[in-house]
Amino acid sequence: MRQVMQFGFTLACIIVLAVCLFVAQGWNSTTALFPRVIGYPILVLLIVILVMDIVKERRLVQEDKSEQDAAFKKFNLNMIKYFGWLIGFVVLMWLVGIVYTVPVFIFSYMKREGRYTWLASLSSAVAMTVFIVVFFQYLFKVAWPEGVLFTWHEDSTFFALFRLREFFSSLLS
Amino acid sequence: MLEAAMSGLLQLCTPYYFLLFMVGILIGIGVGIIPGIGGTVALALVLPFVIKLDAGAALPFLMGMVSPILTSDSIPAILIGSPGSPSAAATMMDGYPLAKKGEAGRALAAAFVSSALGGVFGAFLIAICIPILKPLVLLLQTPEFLALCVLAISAVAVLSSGSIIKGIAAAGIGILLAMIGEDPIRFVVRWNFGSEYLIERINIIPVALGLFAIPEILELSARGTSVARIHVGSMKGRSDGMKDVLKNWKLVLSSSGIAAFIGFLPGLGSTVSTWLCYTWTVVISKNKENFGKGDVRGVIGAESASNASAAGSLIPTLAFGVPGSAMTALMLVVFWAVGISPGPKLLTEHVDMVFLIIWSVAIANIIGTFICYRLTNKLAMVTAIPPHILAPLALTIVLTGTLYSTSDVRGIVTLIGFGLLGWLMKSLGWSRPALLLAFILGPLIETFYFHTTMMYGNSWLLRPSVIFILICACGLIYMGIYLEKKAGQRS
Repeated sequence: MRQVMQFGFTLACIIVLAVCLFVAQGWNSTTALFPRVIGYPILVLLIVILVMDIVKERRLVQEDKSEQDAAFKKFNLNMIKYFGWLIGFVVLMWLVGIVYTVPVFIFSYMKREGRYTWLASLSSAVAMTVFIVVFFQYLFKVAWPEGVLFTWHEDSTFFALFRLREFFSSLLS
Repeated sequence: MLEAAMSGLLQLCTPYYFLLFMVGILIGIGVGIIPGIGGTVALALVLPFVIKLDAGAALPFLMGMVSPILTSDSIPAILIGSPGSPSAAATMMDGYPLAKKGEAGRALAAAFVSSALGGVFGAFLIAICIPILKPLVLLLQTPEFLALCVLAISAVAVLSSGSIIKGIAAAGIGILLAMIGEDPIRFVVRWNFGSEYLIERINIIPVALGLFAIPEILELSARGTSVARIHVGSMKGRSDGMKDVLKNWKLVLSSSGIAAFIGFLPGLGSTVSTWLCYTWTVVISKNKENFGKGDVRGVIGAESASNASAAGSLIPTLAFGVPGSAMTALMLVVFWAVGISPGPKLLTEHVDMVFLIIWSVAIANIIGTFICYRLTNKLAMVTAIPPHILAPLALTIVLTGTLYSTSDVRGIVTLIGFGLLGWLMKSLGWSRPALLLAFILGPLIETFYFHTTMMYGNSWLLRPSVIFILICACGLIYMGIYLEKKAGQRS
């Protein structure tokens, strides 16, 4: 799995960089100077890294690889799960705003992943929310971006319907 | 001179001014602990309050607040692998592995003490530099700045953790990522792919926190163990850290000197100086194999640099009214608002005010460090907190801090994007410091290059100071190749 990730990462870098350098074709010489001077040698270097990894992969003994792979795979699958939590935080924050997201996130994380008691999870969630509200909202006077579920209300129902009709008519046309 | 120094000290000791000074120190310590806030934001927040004070009260409060920020920002970097500011990422390189070994107390104490010594050294440097500032500034022009940036980026060879080719590729990617947004000469927007958010360059906070904090916090959860993988009772304490600093006093002095000099140059800032001093520490140390795995010298080298650099950046602000960073630009606003005009007049007619600033910086560093040092053993206990309590709390602080510093939900998306990149780079053995350093230096190199070629053509390469700096850069690259060979022989 490590090798697959290594190839995938290097290949993704090569593709993204190639696209970026293609986009840079249309720029004037001053704007494009550094992107080209840095970009092309790095593209070549990434290809060299990819080739080196392929050569190295062939030299590795199969038995060693499978043992290392199992541990690496287990750990990285775990990491993907926790990245899921992070993405969940952002989606919830986008929907309801950060002040409501913090207690929900901490409570559900501690309850599900740590299997803590209701009391421990709830008290941690409340304590952190109080800290965020006091420190940022009262002390630093921060106006957090509101969640779309709440701001959607502020657009009048008529405007929301208008946007909806516009969306469907664009689909039909 | 001595009279002015005494007058500055007496002003600071006035009860009301000293009270404000202490409040500033406490705010500074608090601000440093929260990742993503930093001195510039804190300064911007207190600005409306500070400009209403008289100069004698405003300056100690301001310096008291700004000075300990770079001391306390090492706390989250060492304890949870989340740098409080981009410059603390260098401290994290060895501080966090030390915490994992159960030596958080030692790492924290070493960080605090070396940071204080660096700050005091920087303040001392301001005092002795006043008469020789003008010729020094005239000596350094854009070609020297460009050469210094090249020197800083060649540190990538040493920071590549055993694979120079991947280190160079990571640095190249860092420079290219920094080029997203308007170019500095013609203001043509590059690689924004239609996104308004990308018209301005990517904010450094989500980049630094994404590359370093997110992978470490998620790894904590994925492994299911606390940061320190040993029993709380067997943790090494603060006295060891203090002894380490005293044992490495030459390193503290050399790092502080280099950092104060870099801080003095406009635009380079404390992040570049801490990484360069970290590299310097690796280069001059005899046994290099433990760097990046928990070598206390890495913490000492980086932390001595942070406060010394901040003090160094005050020199051009005070002597010429030329701010070298966003933070010193805000300080300049405060100076003007309270009736002080930085420049040659300040150095001749209001020397007592200059000494008030110097005393405030030096004493704030000492008091700030004393407070942090007293809390060291308690703070070290954080590394024993179970991962499923620590991780959600740390994640919340990192996400909130990022949202605060970017004021945009897309800042959080950037954080996650760089978090993913940081995780892939960490698990596949690519150098994250190389990418971060290049991300910071990329725009500076581009700007200095165009300014230099416009003013000097190609003759800038023949300037003796430029040649000297470029030879040093070649030396760093050679050192990187040597380290890679040695690592290859060992494995």
